[in-house]
Amino acid sequence: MDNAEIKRIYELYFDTVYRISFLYMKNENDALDVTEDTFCSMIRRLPSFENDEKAKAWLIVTASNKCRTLLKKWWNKRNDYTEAMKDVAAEDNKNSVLSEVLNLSDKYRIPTYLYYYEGYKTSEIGEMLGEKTSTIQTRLAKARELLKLELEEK
Amino acid sequence: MKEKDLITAFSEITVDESAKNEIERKIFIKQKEKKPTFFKRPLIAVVATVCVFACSLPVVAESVKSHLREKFPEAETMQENIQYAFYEDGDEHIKVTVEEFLSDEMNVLMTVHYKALDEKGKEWLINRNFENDAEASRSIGVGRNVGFGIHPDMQDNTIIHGVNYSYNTEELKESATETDRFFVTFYEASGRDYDSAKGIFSYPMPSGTKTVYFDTKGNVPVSEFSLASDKVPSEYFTPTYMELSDLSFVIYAMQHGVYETFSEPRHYGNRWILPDEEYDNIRIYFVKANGERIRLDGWMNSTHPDEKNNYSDLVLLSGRLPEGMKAEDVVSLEINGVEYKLK
Repeated sequence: MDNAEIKRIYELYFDTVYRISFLYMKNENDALDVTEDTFCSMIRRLPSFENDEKAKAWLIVTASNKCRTLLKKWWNKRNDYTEAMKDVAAEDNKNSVLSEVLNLSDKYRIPTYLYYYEGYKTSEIGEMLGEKTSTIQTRLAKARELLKLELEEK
Repeated sequence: MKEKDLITAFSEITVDESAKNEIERKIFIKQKEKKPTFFKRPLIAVVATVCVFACSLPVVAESVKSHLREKFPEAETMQENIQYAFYEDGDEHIKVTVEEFLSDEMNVLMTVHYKALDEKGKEWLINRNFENDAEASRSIGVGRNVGFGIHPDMQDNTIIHGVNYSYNTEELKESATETDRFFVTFYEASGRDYDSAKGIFSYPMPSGTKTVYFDTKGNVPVSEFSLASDKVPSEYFTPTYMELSDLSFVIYAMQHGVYETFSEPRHYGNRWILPDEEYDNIRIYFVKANGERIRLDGWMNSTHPDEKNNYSDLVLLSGRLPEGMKAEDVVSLEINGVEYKLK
């Protein structure tokens, strides 16, 4: 993997890595840190991916693992961020849907993003997150239910 | 909430272009600051490689610099293990030689030399875009390679431990002449349980791309150690066994029957997997004679529950040896604070 290839992958998947990091960390600074760290990991290991989809999956899994580690480390801070994000979202109606999504717990939020936005199948999400396909299906169903209920209450 | 609202909301998660550019700047600075490992060292002079063909190969092996040792610093300590003139093929226009070959079955490192034998060969060699060849092998995937490089053979994959791998091919452009081009190609697998340890080497020739199988059983010695302690480092597993060479390590364990399982659709059916919390919290170190502890990084593999041997149903961790280390430097292994002396 040479510099041109690294730059190409960076351009192609920066937004994906940032979004998955933001959905875990719920704040821009930590999401940017994880994004940087994820691409640094790629440079350190210099993997050669079979195709772009493999690269994307590798980046998503790596970013997810880094986020989970950070969240355990900074659990209390994370709670503060969550409150801060709620405040930001409340100020801007455009963010109301995002706010609802961010209010979901990780186990619902991340599969929802990967399924609806990134277009992965439930089996692929299960593989990436280390969960059974049936677990992902259940979580997606629950997420759908939660999102609908919460919005209807408004 | 409609699905399009959800998608719109996700698309609104963005950062300023300046933040993106700043990260790009930082990661490429870090790349430049990185200590030389793969493909980062200055390339050696053409003179050295020309000598390879002017002298008999065993003598050359001792007397000239090696592309392999230049590109992979760890190979410096394994000079005696490098096989020279490992493979040769050609026609009346082009000769291709695998000049150096080093393998411990998990890591395979090779240098490849293309030499033009006549004007037609010279024209072909000058105009050949090998980068596209390497890219072709990457996109086509293992088992159906039509490009350029060495890959592990995973086609008849009945393995117990899922084996991951990465691979790369890169030209040594500073060594190129009108009649010679040089390449390094390698793969790094996460274990040895793949198709009878075969490697597939695909390489372009004027008549088309050719593919051969190499026995990658290896020429780098691999030591095996039983891991025993009266303490258990995790409620989920007990470490049992380690394979260690100057290139790589594999640490095996027995799981305690409390793993989650998941279905992997491609090859293996249900497999055991450690819970996320356990993955994140495992701390594994090599300990040197002077007490220095070096944190290990690498692959963790999910495992098929039908594993039949008596020491392993989990690859706890596998990977390359930390930079600058040799197998003989390791006196013990530490997993979550429990020490395993290597005997």
